[in-house]
Amino acid sequence: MSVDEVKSRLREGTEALRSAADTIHSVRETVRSCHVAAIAVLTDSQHPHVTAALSRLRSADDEGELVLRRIDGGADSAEEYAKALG
Amino acid sequence: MEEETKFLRALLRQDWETYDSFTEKFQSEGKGTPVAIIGYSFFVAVQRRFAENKDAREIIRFVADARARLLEGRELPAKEGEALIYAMLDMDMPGVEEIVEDLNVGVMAEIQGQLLFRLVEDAELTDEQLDELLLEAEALLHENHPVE
Amino acid sequence: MSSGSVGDVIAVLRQILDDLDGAAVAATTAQKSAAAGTRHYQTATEGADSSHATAARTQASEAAAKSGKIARLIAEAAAEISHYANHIAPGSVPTRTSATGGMLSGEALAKPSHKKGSLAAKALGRVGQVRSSDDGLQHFGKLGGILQDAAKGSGGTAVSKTPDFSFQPTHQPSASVGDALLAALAVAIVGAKGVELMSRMRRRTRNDDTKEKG
Repeated sequence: MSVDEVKSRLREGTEALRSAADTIHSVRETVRSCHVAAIAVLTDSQHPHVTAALSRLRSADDEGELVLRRIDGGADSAEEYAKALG
Repeated sequence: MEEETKFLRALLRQDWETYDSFTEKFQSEGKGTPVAIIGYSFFVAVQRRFAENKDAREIIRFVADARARLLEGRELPAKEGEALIYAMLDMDMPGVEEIVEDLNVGVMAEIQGQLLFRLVEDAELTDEQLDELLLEAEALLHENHPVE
Repeated sequence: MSSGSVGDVIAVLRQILDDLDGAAVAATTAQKSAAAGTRHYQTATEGADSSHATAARTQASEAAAKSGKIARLIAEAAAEISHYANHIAPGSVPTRTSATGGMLSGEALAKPSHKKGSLAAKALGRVGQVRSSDDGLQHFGKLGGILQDAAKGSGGTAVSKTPDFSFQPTHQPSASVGDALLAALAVAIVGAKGVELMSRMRRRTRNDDTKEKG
């Protein structure tokens, strides 16, 4: 592949990742609002199903944060590589 | 229970001695108005009162009543008060989104605090019940905004 | 404050389940996008011996894997919630296996994924991020003043207490001494905003003294 083709392909990759990041951002907002709504309505908060659900939602939010960081990191690295190609 | 939550509890219980000690402590530590716990407590209280029956007329009546009970009703603007309640219930009434986005958080806390006080008084919560409400709010706050 | 009927709780849980279903689908879409991005990076950097290239591929790949994990976690959460719903109201929601996150109804798939709770989340997001406003307690002080005034106006509980707005932890001897101390403390410790706050408190102290005598 020529340098131009490589850079073009890297850009495509970054675009796909940014799109994923946008989606995960929305997913996190939904997860959080569902979490808030669940806590508000589920007064029997000690029930195993409830604690399990809330724990999963928390983890989903945490993983979401990690996804966003990886995407930022990956895109930055791709850009550095592209720059180094000249 | 965190200090900010205890501070809010003192305010809601009208325990002015404790309120004053916390004021002194927070001032000396350079801490400002605990807008987060006020907001989340307001959220929980609004859910409990209005979530089952999201009736705009009820909400308008509630805010009007809260204003009437204050000596200076102008401290609690009706439109903003209603909007903040609508926001907590995801009632997308006209103007609510703008108010949520533009209102200064300190002013937001003042309005929420007054309405929260009214909600707590109306419900005639015991000290234990108030603690439970505040702890639920604190837990929600931590879920959504973990301290790094 | 009522705790709500079971029917009301189920209604809310159903809405939550709808939203989680949408979110799980979205997370899967994100996983696919991230996987595509990873493949692009792999193609672009094939044979390249560069730490940047390796980092790009690795992180993109991890992003894809974690997105898939998110979809699974959401589906599991939905499964738990559906089990709980059926615990409190048997037969109220279709139980779902965590593997598939339950079968999405045609209606759910056709609905555009809207952000439920965006208004509440926005408002709470603003105050949650800020935690405490940088106002020298001005707003909280005002709140205290409003509630105290309101309580006195209706002959409420504040009448029986001796309002003590001194910044000293111990007993305050008299209003005039207190005022002088407050003034000195204000300048020394808390600056302009604190002085404003204490002016309000001083005003209330005088009002209280008047009311108690009268």
